[in-house]
Amino acid sequence: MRKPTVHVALDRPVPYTGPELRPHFLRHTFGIHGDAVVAWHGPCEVRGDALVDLEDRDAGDFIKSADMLHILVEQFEPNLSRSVVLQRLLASLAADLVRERCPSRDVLRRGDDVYVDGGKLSVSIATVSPVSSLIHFGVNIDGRGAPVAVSELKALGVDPREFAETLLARFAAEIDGIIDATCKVVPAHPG
Amino acid sequence: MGEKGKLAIKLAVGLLVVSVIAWNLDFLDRCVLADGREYRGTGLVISDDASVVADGRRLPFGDTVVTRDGGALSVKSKGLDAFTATSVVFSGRVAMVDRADGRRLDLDLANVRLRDAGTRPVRVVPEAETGFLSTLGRLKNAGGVTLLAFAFMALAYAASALRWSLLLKAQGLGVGFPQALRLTFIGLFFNNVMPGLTGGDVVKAVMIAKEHPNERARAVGTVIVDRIIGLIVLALIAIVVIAGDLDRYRDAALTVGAFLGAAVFGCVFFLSKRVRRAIGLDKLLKKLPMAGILEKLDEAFRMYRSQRGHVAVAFLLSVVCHVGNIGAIYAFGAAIGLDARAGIEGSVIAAYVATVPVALIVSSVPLLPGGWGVGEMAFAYFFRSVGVWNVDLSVALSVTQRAATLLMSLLGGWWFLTHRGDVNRALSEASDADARGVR
Repeated sequence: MRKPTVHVALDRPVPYTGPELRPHFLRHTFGIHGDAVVAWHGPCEVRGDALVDLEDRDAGDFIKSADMLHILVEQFEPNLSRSVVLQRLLASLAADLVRERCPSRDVLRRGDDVYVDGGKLSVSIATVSPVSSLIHFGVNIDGRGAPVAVSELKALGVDPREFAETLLARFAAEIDGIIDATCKVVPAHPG
Repeated sequence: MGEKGKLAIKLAVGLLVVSVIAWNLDFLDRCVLADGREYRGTGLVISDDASVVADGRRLPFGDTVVTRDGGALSVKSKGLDAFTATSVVFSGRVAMVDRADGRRLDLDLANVRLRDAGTRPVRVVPEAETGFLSTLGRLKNAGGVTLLAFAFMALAYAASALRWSLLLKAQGLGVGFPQALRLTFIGLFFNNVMPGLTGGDVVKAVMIAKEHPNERARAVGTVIVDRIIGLIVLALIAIVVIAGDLDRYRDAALTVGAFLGAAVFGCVFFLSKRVRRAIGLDKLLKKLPMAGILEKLDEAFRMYRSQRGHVAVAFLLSVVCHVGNIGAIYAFGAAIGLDARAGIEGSVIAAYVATVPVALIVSSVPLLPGGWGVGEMAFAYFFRSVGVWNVDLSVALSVTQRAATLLMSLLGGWWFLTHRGDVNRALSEASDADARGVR
């Protein structure tokens, strides 16, 4: 595992429809080479075959939001289990951030989702490509069009840029910490 | 009073009921802004991304119910526990074509005036509602569901004809299913198309009596029992759902309860030998007003007292028949949007099963052909009691199912026209027999 490059690109909206969850998307779209975690914003609509989650796809569900903060993580080492663990770490960090900014709200991480007062704040999926592990973590900025009850940064009074910058920095720091942790231990006693 | 006088009174009352309903309908789509500006037109559409923003939570418009309890607003949404909100804003766009100048309007749903709707509980809804004509227009885009509704109707008529054929056989009147089906449709045609006092049941009875001249009383009895079994099963189907939530279906419960109470009383009154002997029913019937009708009812019930097996099968066939009837109306309702979007809370199917039978029982009061007018009023009243605040929708549903019935009855019209001489002769003979007191 390597510490990822962190990049926040909120200047112009880039829609997310599902195919963005592919290797080298970050390189082709944002010019970032290697392991990276990038945040941008834009409308989100994922339906049908573009849904990576087979349960959602079979149920005919869809994802829609007028404006979402998209966070895409790519690590060039395909490992699905590790990817799912990191996805949940990202969700926990996001929940912590919302809790700090909105102390009166009921914030809960359940699996890879974050809920605020029962409304779904985030959508998330982790998968692997032949060359990399990929995580998409979307946070509602303006949840219009969502098929379920949602919470949104706009209504919570949370600035998406500050939220993205802090979340990405904390996530990168966690990975740095994990790498560091792996470098300071001796093998367990064979006992 | 002569036949013409009775007909005139019936038509006058029927037309009065229809006028009252028409007066209460909004034929055009309507949107009222908070500043009082009102737009009327066509093609009203609330955008797909419309939502309800309640205390920072954005909830899907179609799945969210806002109600007022005193001063507080209560919000219920799919997948979320109900909560009390201090701030509720409806968000989205409303598009429609203004009738005044043909302009295409694009309005902010947040600027639309809110109004209290319904009675229990009081719902808070934006005053942006489709009118009667647009509601009917939705059928154009629901061909599949509409076809399904017609399939359900066909099932209902087939089961109904089979039930009558069975009741006829039980009385030794050998009438096969095809003939029973044909006469059922001719009866339907008379009920829905022919303006007059001659109902479809009378036509069915006299057509059978014509073929069995010595069994006129039995023929009439089969039609009466067939109709009564149909109505009782309709009420029983409704009561199964109503009993599960008496508070929600209070209005329907009162009507069905009264109907079933009368039915039980009637059954005991007419079927129990002990009761008959105790009260001297046979002598009593002759002294009561409408003695003729009561005696026919008495005779009809007595005919089947020893035919319990046939009656049981007839009950089962009635269940199939009403599954068809309610299924058809449910499908038409889905086609025009009379479901959760219209305010029905909880199970939509349960609301239909509790409401439609009651409305159908009430609309069997014959004023205008086909029960027009009374049916629309009944649909409006009983659907309002389950949360449908927009009368245009419930009346549109009633009109749709009635128009579909009318369409189906044309098949009976065709059979009638091809056997017009026979039917008219049978009616004339029956009328002569009545005049002579022949039974």
